[in-house]
Amino acid sequence: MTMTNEPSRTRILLHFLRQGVSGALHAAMRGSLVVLLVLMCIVLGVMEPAFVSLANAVDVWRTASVAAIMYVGVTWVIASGEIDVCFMDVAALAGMVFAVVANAHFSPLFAATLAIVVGLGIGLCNGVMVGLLGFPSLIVTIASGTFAHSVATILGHGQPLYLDSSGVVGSFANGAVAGMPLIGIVAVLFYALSWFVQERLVIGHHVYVLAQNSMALRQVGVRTQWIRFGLFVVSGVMSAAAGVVLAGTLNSGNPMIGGSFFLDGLTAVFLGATVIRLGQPNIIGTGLGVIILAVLVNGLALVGAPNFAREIVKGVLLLLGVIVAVKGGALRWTGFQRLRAGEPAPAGDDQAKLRRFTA
Amino acid sequence: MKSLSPRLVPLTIFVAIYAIIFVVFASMSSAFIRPTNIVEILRGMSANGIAALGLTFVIITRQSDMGFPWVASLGAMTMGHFIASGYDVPVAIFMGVLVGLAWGAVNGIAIGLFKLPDMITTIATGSIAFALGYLYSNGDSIYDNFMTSGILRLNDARFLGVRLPIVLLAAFFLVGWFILDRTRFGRAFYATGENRRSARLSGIPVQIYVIVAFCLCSAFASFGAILSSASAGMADVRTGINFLMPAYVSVFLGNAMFGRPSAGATLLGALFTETMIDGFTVLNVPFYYGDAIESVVLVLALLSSKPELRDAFRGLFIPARSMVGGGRL
Amino acid sequence: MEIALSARGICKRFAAIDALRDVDFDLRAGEVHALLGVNGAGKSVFVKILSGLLRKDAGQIVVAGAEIEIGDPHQAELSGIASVQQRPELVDDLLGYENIYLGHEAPGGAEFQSFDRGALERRALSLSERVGLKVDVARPLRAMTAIERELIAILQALSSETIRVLILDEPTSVLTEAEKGVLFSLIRNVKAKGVGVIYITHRLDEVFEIADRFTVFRGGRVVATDVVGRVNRSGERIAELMLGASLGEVYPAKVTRPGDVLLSAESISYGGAFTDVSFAVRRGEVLGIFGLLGSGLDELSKVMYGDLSPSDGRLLVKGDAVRLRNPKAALRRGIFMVPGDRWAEGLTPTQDVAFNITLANLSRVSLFGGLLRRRLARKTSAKLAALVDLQPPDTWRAAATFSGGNQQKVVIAKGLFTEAEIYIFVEPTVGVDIGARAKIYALIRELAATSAVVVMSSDCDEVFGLSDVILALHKGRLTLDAPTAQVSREEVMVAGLVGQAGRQAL
Repeated sequence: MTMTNEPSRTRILLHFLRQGVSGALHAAMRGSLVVLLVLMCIVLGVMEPAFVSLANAVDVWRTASVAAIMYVGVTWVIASGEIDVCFMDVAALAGMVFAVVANAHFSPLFAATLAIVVGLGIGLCNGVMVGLLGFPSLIVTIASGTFAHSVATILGHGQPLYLDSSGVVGSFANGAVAGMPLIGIVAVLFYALSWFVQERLVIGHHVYVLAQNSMALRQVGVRTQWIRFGLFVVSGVMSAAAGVVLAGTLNSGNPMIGGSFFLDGLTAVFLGATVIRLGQPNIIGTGLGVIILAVLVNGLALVGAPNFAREIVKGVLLLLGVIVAVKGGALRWTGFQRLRAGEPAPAGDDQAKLRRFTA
Repeated sequence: MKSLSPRLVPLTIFVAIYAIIFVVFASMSSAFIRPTNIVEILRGMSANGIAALGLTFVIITRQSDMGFPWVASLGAMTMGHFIASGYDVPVAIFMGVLVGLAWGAVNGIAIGLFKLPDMITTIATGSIAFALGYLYSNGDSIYDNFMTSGILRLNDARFLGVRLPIVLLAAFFLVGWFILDRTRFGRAFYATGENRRSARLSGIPVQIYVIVAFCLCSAFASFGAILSSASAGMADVRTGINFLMPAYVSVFLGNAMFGRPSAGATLLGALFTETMIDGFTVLNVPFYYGDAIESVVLVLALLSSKPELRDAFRGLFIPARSMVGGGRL
Repeated sequence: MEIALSARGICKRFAAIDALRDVDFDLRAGEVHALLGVNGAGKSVFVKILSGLLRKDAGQIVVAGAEIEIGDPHQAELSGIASVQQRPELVDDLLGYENIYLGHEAPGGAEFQSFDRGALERRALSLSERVGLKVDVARPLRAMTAIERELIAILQALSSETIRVLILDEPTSVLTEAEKGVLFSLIRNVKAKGVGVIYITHRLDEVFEIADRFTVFRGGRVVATDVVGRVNRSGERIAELMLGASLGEVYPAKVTRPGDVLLSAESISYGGAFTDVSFAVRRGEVLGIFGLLGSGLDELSKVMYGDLSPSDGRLLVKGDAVRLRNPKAALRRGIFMVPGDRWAEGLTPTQDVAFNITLANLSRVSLFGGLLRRRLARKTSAKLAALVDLQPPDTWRAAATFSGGNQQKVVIAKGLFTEAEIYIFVEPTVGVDIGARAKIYALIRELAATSAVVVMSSDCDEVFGLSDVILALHKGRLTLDAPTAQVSREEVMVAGLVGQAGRQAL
């Protein structure tokens, strides 16, 4: 048996028209970032021919790669309906730890591993507090971010810490293969892997459902608290890895790098949420966002645009990304409100509710 | 009055812990206990404290504002611009605060009316505000006319023998406390935050209160940045961007201690953090240790709270009931 | 015949209330067994225990011969019990087949397995074929009609390999008549496969159409189980069973001195919830509106209070047509509603009683437009708290610390504080103990002496006992409008259950 009634012909026509228009709009929105990117490149290339050189492109790619790696975790955390505002501080801390340990004559590889373990540790703390204990992710990551930032500052006594020698890590960070930055290739590969996890594994699917209706997931037996836990751990590790690589590129650990990466990260994530998965942060979108931002910064610097122009464009991009993401898509949360109910009390069981408020 | 006794207990605990910390610092350095240092504590917390007070309104309505530091920066730069352009001090201050107010209104409308998510939206609008602050002088600090216009008196002047920033701090908190505790508007704020649905059914125009909360937050933060600028002798784009952590710690510390966010709780929370920071400064411990301590304090406050209090924390981000509709028939 | 599920001696207690007492129940394989009972009779609690949302305090549950313990919904599913709630938790943005297999995309519910959309779609299609359905499972849920969503929810329940019991809780509340036919076809197919179906509903016509047997719950017990064919289709017998003998509840004496009409409705409708409802409430009189779940009672109350705007018709207050844009407008017109869910809608739980009582009319205790006259507020609150007999009469305590009945009194005091002339009570005594109930009824009657009162409830006894004029709603239409003295309790219940539209008093 079929479900539909028989609609009139005008209804059918209108229906297809509407589908067509909204489909076109959706396609436009989905491809908009790419179009934007192309437009930007054209405009910038016209304004400053040096922009279109291979050397410049490689430079952009290299810068974008570090950021791209840093933002992987954040992308998924926000996609799942939480927020992470500590990622840039974890990166700063990892960079400082790397510098300190490497300068203490340990092998750079060991130093890098230790730095990543530190990031893992912070990710674990976040994961436990948010995923398992249920604290709000904003406050937890504000706290852990500030803590990481201040420890990073302490390690360098308020100053960046120059690396005596960055060794293997440095070569990795600055190296190139056939003219392409090594780190750039790694980032691309990593993104491909992440895309696979996001799209082809059940857990990637569940991360998105988590933002939409975590109650439904819990009722079918999915362990949502462990998924949240894992996401924060991933974010910590990725941020730390990016921080180490950044230290390798700059040949120093810098506790102050946080500022720009914070806004850039959120902008990339939300810009990315306007493509592919409309309204939902996703890996390829973030990648595109990162590239756009890198192109923007690079290009504007080349044409000699004043600082405020760069900042304003970034801010506007973020706002646009948020609006499109919320209105045009599936983002469900308003202020990350979460109902983490336990056994539902029957109507009239005020005693259970009462227990929530008495000391 | 019976309603006071539940509040007396946390207050006593706070006083006890504060006293301990105070004594520790005092014993480690005689400079700490000097009157000039006490005054410095109070003066130092004026800018952060006023910003925290503004944030308190937003937290009471169960929202978050993550962008007020950047709006504060814009407010300070605006003030600086007007001073440099030769306007009177009151005009410059007014314009700076007005900018904050306007930005807060934008936030409030976007979040209250258009239902955009509060955290990300305030970050987005804040970043644009921050960028606009660059417009005045392409990112350079503004200090023209600062010496001559008298703006520095905002920091240096005395009122009845007390440094002006401290007086302003007290005034702001007095007004804030008065609004929240002694007027119907305060009750409406609390009702809106705790149970928006019920507030609406009680005839409270909840959307207006959300907008006002964001307005106050950004306006107060701007004023705080203006105070900071007066103290620094110049307006800099970086003024105010460090407001975020101390403000949240103050509000949440206050909330943890007294069970609900309020002007008084925030004031005590701000006093607590500022004392710690000052103590470390006097002991010549570098400033960045202060942040670490603050974050640890925040986490400890979170962790040590009982599960019921933890619900209260969670409740700060999850209005008790925010869904429209949902009858039981 | 095979027994799919058998429950013996099930008991469940909440604080001081016995929700279920010694319930015995049998479900045969391949039968559709209807559960009937008023709100609070226990059928929802029983079903929640079966589906793992609550735990029983005592008793045994046997499924297909083996006794089982049901700790959570997952375990219930593993034991072969699948349930579809009234408002199923589905994910709007996912496609049909993604919803159907949510949490079971890979064998064993593993997270790190491949997520194969194509395979899921094929599985979903074959599943729907097996139960004789044609649903486009590849569309997002938000694009589906109510019946399609319902079917997806049922397919989700049926997707379990080992299913023996399917529980449907009010599945037709959002469906049209035509769509119901589709649902019933599905149910018959499911029956044919030997699955037992537990069907909860308030609509007797559906019971007669689809069910084989029925069980009536009342006061936490099972009072009757019978074959559907053996019962009179008029519904009187079932109404009697559901209501039982009058509880001997003491309702205050009715003294009606009807004055002028304060609130009236002319053919108001709201979307699909209710249509063409008209009534008039006079000062000095209690109007009762009885409606079970899905009757439109909830939406009607919201329209009367300005929370929703009617799609048709108009409301008049004291003869003037009004457009209530929001509850504030209603309050200004002198209307106050005591909402059905006092926790979610009526109170600010962590604030004290005085705060709550004064909240809806703060200008009454404000000077110069804002300054609170706190002493006056406290005094007035204390007076009102005494008037409603708040126990304990401590207006400085947080509202959450009071019992349900006393919380309700706080909300009533809140209404008194607004000095309204029209009071609307929605489900006034849910979760309220006997003692407080009597006081609330007395208050309602006292209020009626000087104002107009509307009592809207799914508790037939209550509406019947309190009102001077009684209306019944069934599926959005008025099925009864008569002076209470001229009808019987059972007639009211029947009007709410069966909806004989012809019952209009002259």
